[in-house]
Amino acid sequence: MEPEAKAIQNLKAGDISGLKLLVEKYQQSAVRAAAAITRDQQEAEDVVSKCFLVVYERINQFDPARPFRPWFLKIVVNAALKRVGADSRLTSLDNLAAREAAIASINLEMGEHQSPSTAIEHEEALAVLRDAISQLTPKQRAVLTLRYDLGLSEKEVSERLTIPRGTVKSRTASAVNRLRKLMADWLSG
Amino acid sequence: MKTKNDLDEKLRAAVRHYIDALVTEPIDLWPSVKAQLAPDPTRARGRLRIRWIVSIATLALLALLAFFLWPPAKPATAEEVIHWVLTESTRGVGAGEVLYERFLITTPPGALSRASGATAQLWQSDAPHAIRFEVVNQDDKLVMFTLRNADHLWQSLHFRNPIATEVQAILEVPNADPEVAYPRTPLGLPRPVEEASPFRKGILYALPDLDQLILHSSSECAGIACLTQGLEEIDSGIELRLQDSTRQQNYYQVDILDAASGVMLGSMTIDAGNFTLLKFVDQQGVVVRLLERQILDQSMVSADLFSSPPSGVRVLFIPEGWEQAKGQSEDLTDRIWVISTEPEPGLLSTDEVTVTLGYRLVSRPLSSLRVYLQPYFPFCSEHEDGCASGVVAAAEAMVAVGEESIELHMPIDPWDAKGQVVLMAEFTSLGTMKTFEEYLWEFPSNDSR
Repeated sequence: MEPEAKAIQNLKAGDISGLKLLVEKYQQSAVRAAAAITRDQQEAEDVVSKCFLVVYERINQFDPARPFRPWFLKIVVNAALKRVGADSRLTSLDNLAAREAAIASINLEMGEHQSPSTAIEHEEALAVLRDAISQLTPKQRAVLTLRYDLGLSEKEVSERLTIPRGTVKSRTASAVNRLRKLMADWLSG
Repeated sequence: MKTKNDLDEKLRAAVRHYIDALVTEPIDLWPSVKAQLAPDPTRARGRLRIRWIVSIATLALLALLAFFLWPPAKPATAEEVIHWVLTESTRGVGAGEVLYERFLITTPPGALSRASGATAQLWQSDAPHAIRFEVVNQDDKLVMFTLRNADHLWQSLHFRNPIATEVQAILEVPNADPEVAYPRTPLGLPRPVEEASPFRKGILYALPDLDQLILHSSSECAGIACLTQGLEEIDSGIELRLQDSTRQQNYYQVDILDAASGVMLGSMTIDAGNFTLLKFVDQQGVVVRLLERQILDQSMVSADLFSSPPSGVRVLFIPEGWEQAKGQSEDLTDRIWVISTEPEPGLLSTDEVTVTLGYRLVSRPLSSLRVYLQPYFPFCSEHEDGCASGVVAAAEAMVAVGEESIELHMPIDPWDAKGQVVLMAEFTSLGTMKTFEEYLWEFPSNDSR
């Protein structure tokens, strides 16, 4: 039996050591998905922690024949969306440190603007990215996160968010079009 | 020139790195998750409380299921049903206020059984002060109902086989108002009595008629032979046969036969004292009837009269006023006293003596009160030679339960008018006789007349 299956089996039997394995395995991706929606790591961690408690309480509802990750991410995304909806402050929050880190990260990762002479230009471009993403709705960010960060297909996103595939498609398209418009100059650069 | 795919990939990378930028600190959620998994005392108490509630609710549900589904040890007996009906009928009314002129409950074997789903209902009808009882058997057939309002008592008895192939009903509706509207009209609303000889009607329909018939005939008869003869004249096709074995009892049993075929139609049990119908049993021996207006109880007639016939049909006897009187009085002693006489005791020269008696009747709903003048022999018993008694004058009246006075007139037979007589009185049905030795009259001697 695989470690994950064994962990789930133990958790179903009331052994919380099984939960520990699941936390360690899925916390990273879960927090990333939640953070994309809440745009705050602390908030995302709080959401995900509670989601693991939900897993603990509802593990008997989980069908071990099916993969755990989609089931859990669905809980996380819904919880994050609920959190954003419940706390409007989060919609306007954007962490300065995160923004700066994002800029640095993008600079390093994309390797297209490593010239020191253009650093200021790049910073401006990434500020545009940050502003653009922050202008998306939480639901659009959730779709983008699942599609672009977690790499889920439209069908999987549809299942995770319990929305029709058409809605996933249109929500993704509207989010992308919005980003393209907002970031037109940077994308064409 | 950048293609669409290039742009999407650039967006994808931008999103990923945007999220990377958001999640900058190392993630270790296990300590916080584990801490939150530790039992919270408040939460634990809440869960415990919920568990208690669930447990109690489960037990209550199981108890209800057991009550309704668990087969009882034995079916309800007629006595249990009667007790239930009486209890319900007096609930909230007050003891002694609810009286039943007559009350009959029948339970054919197996028809009334908790195990088979018999139910009993009590409900208030739209009629003022009306109370209705229903006992329904497992087939949702009405076994019986009684309904009582301020003035009337309605009753129904519903029998199943072997009395009849269909459920039948009998209604005894003393002074009933047929216009009274009742919210439900099951089997038991009044039915007209069939136009036929009561001896040949269905036994259920015959009972009220036969009762009235015997009551009427007995008022014109002094003996059982007269009564049976009178009854035979009503239906020339029947023959009434008195069972000699009952002559020495205080009741008569009279068999009813079809005169032509000799087939037994039923039998009647008649009070030897006042010729009223006590019991009527059909040829199958299934129905019993008792008239409660008679002053009867088990101490006065043989036990078998009141025992259940093999069919299990039972009769309850609740005399009107009796229960009330018993409930109101601690002293159940019946009393008779003299209020006045006309003429006063002494030399008697009139041909009538009028006595005003006071009486208190509490042990029976009704009784015959008799006064008479009897020769006075203070020093010997009736059965000794020379002490033979003979009633010189007498009068009798029916009195009801309670404390009242009554005036009785005793005409005197001049041929018996001799010697000294004493006033005596008794409740005849109770067998209690009282001699008023201070009320003595002496007839003038023949020489002085």
